[in-house]
Amino acid sequence: MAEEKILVTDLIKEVGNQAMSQLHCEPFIKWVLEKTPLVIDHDVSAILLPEGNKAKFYLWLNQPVSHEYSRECKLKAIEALNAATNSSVSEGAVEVLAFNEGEAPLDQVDKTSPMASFSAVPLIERGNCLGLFVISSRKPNFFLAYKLNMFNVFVNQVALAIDSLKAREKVVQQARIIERDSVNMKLAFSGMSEGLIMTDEFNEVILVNPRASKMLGLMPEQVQTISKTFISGFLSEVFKELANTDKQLVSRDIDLESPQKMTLRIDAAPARDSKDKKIGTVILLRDITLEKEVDRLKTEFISTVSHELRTPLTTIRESVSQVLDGILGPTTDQQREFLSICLEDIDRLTRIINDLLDISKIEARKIQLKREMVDLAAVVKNVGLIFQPRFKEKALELKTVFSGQKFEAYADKDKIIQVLTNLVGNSLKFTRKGYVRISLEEKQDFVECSISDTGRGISEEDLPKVFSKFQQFGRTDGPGEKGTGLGLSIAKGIIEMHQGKVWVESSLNQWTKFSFTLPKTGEKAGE
Amino acid sequence: MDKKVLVVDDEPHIIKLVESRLKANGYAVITASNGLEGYEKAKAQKPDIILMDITMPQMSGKDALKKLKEDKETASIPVIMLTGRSGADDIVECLTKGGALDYVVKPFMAEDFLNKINTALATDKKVPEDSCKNELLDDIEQRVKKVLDSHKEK
Repeated sequence: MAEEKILVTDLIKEVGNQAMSQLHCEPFIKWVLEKTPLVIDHDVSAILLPEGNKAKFYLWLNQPVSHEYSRECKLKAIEALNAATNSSVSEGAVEVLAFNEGEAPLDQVDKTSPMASFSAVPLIERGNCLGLFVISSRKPNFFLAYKLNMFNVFVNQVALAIDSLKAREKVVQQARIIERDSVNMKLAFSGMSEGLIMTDEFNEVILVNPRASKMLGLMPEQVQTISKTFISGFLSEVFKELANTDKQLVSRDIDLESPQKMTLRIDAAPARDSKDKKIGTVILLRDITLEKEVDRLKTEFISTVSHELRTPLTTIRESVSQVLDGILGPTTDQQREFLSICLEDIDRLTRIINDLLDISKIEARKIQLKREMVDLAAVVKNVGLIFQPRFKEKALELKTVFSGQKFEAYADKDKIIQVLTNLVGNSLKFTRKGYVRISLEEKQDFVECSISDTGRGISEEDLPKVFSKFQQFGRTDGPGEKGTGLGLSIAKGIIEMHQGKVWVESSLNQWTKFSFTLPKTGEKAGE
Repeated sequence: MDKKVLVVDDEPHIIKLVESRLKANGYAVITASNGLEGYEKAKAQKPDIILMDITMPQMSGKDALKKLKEDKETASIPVIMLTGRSGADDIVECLTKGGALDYVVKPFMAEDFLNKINTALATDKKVPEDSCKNELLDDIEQRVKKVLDSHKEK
């Protein structure tokens, strides 16, 4: 008796150790069922573990029994489980895992004796019912009270062990997912056609993908030293901008000389954790050499074609003009009317070509700004004076409003006159009654200039396209010069060359307001 | 006697049109189709003023201008450039180093070169050679600006 107890106490202690040495429930449960006869005498033992609406029924035949016996045992266990956990697991949802079925020779199987004793003890840990531990026998009233007490202690230990094993299973599963994700990530990083660099919150490089290494000509062992050279070089500006503004993306184009001539576009974006705290920077490197080259060829093409068009235009214009002037003999009124139409459109074509040349120069960054301190108030007044006659002609009012003290900006005066002329001319063209107002407002680091009108306005869907080339909306067929469709994109190009911003707001059939900013000083000028 | 204008251009259409316009305004016209021919005709026939294209075969207008200004016989004949090249660099070069009197950018209005010829011949303005250098520079700066401005207005 005492010997038996000692054995059982040892066994109960061993439960914990067994659980510790396993990663999964199944082998542990097999061990438990195999050892149960040492705790309590029985014919069949089983553990039923629910998983959602399903369950697993682990079966151990201590004595060879019939199928009907083990099925009855299973059904009773399911019934007890549903009662204990208030669930509705059906027989079909239960998977039976018999550890030692078929080990006994068929002639030893007792096919007649039905189940006479049955005991189901819930596996409870931390208040949760994890499942049932079942023992049964063909003999009635087989389980003695003191044996059952011992069995209960054993079951409690088993419950504790299963609980911790389940937790461990979860951790292992998560670790697998993380590992798989990280392998996938690595595959994605190395397969990317873009270069990828990641830095931590201190701008130290923590990841460089193979494409980035190749682009920058880094040997694998140099990747760690990249922080110093790469970051202190062309990335420092990007980091500064990311740190000083709340921009979500900062882009720069840089020309690399080595390891090969290449234009790189750098897109840098802050990486944030779930609490929106900045934890580093993600930098994408894209080879845009080809795009740049195509763009350059396009610009060159436009420039060449425009130049080539000038000469025939000259002769056409002059020919028409000489006939119109009567140098070559008398003409009728109707002939002169048609020749005038010719001249008007030749002049329009000339304006388009000039605008095209302007835009191609802006796009090719071939325009050198001659920046100086410019008094914008004086410029606005002058542009106003030039436009005055045309406003009178249309019976419109041209207002100027200045708020602030000084309106000096670091700018190319002629180019700003061109911008104002384009914008005021645009407003004039689309306004039939009311006024056009030019306003200047002094801000912290810049001067803001707005040109608003009471004209026909721009619809919401057209608004984003306003600054694109050859976009003309709601064209009037009234008198006056026809536009070229390039004026606003030229204005945008010029303002952006000044590191200024340009934007438009409008309400259809009510008003339109074009605004731009110019920096007060040249410190930020990156010319 | 009618004032004589030498028109140098490799485009026969341009020559024809400029000639017709000038004749209608009472000028005598001689023509040349490249820089070298222009220089030779200027030397031989001593026109009162020259209209000179830049991009031409054999000898460019810039080279012809240089030759004209280096030659004592032709140095005092005023030259007005009449060209499709509208770059500020070209304009500055011709008006400063080159010694051209004026610059007209194609496509031009007839009035552009007529007015300039009229003014040049009325005042009989020769290229100032002995005026104070600063004045000359100021003058040139003004002229470059004027050409660029008038070009922009078109």
